[in-house]
Amino acid sequence: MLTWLTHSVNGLAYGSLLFLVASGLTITFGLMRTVNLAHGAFYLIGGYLAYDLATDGTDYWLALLAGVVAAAIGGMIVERAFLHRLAGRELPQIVLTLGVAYIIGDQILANYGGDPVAPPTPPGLEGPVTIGDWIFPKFRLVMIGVAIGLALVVGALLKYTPTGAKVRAAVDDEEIARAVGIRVPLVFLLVFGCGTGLAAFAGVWGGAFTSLAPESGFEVLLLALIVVVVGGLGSIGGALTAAFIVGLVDQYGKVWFPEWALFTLYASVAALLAVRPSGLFGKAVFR
Amino acid sequence: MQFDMAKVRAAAAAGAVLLLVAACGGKDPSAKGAPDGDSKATGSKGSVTVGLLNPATGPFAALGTDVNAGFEAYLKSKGGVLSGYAIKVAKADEGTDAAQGTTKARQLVEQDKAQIVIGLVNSAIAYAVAPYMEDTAKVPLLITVAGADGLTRKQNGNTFRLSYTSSQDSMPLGPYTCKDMGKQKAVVLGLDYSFGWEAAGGFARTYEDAGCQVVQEIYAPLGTQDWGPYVNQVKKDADVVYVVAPGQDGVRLLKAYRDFGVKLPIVAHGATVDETILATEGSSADGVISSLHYTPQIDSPQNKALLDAADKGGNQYLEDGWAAGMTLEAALATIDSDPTPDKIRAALAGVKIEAPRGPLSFDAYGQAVYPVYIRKVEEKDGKRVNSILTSVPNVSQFGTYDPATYLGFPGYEKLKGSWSK
Repeated sequence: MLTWLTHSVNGLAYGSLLFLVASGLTITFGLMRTVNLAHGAFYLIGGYLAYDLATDGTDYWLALLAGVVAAAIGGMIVERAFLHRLAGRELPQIVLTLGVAYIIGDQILANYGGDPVAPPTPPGLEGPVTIGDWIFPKFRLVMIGVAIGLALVVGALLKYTPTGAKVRAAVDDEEIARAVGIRVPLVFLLVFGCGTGLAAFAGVWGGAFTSLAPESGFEVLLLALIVVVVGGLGSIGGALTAAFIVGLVDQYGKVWFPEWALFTLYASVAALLAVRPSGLFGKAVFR
Repeated sequence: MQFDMAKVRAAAAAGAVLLLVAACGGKDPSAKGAPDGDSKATGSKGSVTVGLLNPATGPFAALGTDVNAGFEAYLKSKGGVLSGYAIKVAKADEGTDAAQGTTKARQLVEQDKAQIVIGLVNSAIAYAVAPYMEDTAKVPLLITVAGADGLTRKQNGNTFRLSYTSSQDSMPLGPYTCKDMGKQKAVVLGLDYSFGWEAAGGFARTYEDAGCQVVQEIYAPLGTQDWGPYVNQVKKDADVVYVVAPGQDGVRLLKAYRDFGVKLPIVAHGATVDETILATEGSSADGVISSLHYTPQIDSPQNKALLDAADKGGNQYLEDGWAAGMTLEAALATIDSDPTPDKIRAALAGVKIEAPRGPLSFDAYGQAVYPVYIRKVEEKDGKRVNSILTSVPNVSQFGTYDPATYLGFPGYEKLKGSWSK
């Protein structure tokens, strides 16, 4: 009985990690419709910078903040200098962001080498909690709360604040938004920065969970894409639901068919998309 | 405000070029093939061109860099001259697929005129390069990391290997766990690909032949992000868990193992806790007992020379590169002039050296025979190290089995899943 509780809660915890990793991409790709294959690279920037500062003795939370801010600024530079020219043109976006991902990945390989590193577990969250006979890692439990909290905050910001309304207007109809006086380029710049900043936050927390290496960026990108696409482009709630479902499917796939773990995950994603091509909560797109 | 778009574009382009230049400047990931050894060194007997074929890109880049660094450090300690021959080094990037690996091997042989090729990390690439080297190029190949058991199964062949076959280093751990540690029932927890099956198989075979039982086998895909579901399946009534998970998988596995409070002691393939990941694993690796042919803790003048020359502290890959330098030196010592590939191949077969790991020679199949160390992760001066518990001398790829008998066993890929039955 306790084993099943552990499996289920751990599935949710892994789903929460997936949501953290995907949250930035829900914004840059899901909401802004910019194909951002450099998402994993910003994840690495945050993770490596925080690892570097924290192991040098900087306060953990300061190191976390530095990683997030650096990736947000880096993201805004990429958006302002290159990406904004390619609005709506997916193939050039793919080539450009892939190039950015490779350049950042190689920079990290050159500076830190290829051996895996891990940013520290947030202070106070090391080790397990014990409730009666039940043992579960504290960090993973907190991760579930953080994922739900993050989804609520981002969702509320987009839905209920004037800024959120401007963002949605800019995405839905750029020309009309400009006509009514919304500074669309500025909105896109800031939104993209938020997206890459969130990727960096995931890099610091996710990195503590799974460790970092230069190629982790692409592993993470794949998982994040699954969550965003299954959840339905642009839907924060959808991404959270999808992350939990993928986490649980992955967990039980590993328990019941350990050697088919990759198959159970990707096969169920493929089956879902065959039935609902626009994802769980995505609006049907007409072109 | 009016932007001058042409200026902005030019600035952006300049920025991109700067980034690219910076990306290439750091470590030259393109690793071009031109010989770049110490060109001033001259040898009394002539010169030899060595092709170093190791990954400079992709997931194994760190290991390839270490092997190259080890070889070059040894070369430098000898002033660029080994046994009277000035050594010219040509480097190429093994890359991540067999086609690129073979192309680069051909480039080293045909353009750079390499008389011996040293390197290879990825076994899939090694399986493609080895036949090319033997049948077409007719230039000896000295493998320094790639572990697939099947690469050294032919007598008097062209392929030599200094590093382990995947099962070789785990064989001494079976009897140690069963008899010396007295752990009767083991769970095998490893990675689901050929290295994982062979390493686990080497342990399981010797462990069961020593009279103990493997009671459960769990294999997870390479690159598993969350090991939680796997460590939670470990049977609690076993006595010990055998783990084989190098690189990031090892880091994640040990962390999940400790976080979920699994209490069983761990024995492991040495690559699970080698020095490339030990610092990152931190306290989660404490107490892990593992077997490997090297640990920087070896107390010998040969190992001290390596540790003094390597600025990042030793690890098995640096030692593999360093030992490759010593092996080449010993082979060249027996050649008086005109070191053709044929002469080098013949000389390699008879090489006996005192490497940092200890006495090393090759068996009839070209596979190195060397001591294997049973080590334990401990904290020493604030740093985690693999302290030596004991060592087993002259471990061959066949363990204590007769080669003919051993070669008659079914492959480990067929035996996986059958140990616990």
